Amino acid sequence: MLPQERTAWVWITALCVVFGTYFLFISVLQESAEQVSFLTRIGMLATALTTLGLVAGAEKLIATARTNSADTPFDERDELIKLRSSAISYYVLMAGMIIVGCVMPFSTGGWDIVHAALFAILVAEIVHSIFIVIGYRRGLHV
Amino acid sequence: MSDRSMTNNLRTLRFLAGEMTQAELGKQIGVTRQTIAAIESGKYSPSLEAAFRIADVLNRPLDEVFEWKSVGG
Repeated sequence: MLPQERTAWVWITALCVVFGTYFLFISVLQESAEQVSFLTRIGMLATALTTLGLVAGAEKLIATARTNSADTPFDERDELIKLRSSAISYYVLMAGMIIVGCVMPFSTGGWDIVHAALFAILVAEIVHSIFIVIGYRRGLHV
Repeated sequence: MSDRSMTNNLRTLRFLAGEMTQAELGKQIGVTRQTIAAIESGKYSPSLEAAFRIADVLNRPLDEVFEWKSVGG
């Protein structure tokens, strides 16, 4: 498995686990009708982002130590797969942001919009990584 | 839409060129071994420049290395 594909798998897993837990906690807290303080929300979000950062850093260290991937050239196929994934995830993100910015303000506000924006970014990142994996597994024909 | 796709004789020609490995061929044209493997298995169609470089390294005409064939035929 190429380092790029491995990184995509790690990213998919980490995003799903970290932010799945985050959104689960948020929904449980909201269901319980408790007033969640601003600091608690920020603290949870910071924890999720920090965890993600640690996972990304650890994965980078392991990849470099294991296969000397820093020397692996990034050739035309890698570039094309990355470009296609980025293009698709861009449209996913754009759709999410249009919903968050142009539709949601008329019906809701506050933390709901923040979480919706975060969710849209999360989905775009997962889509990006999924299409990288597909590009390496199933192939890419321009 | 055309029912044709690109095929190649890369594996055979690589063998005939002194049993060149995928890594060796990749190094000579500037791509990774995995990209050569993907080209051979039909998972990736190389750029025009890469295709010409492959043909040049293997010392064969381009249409002998890559073919545009009907699917299933």
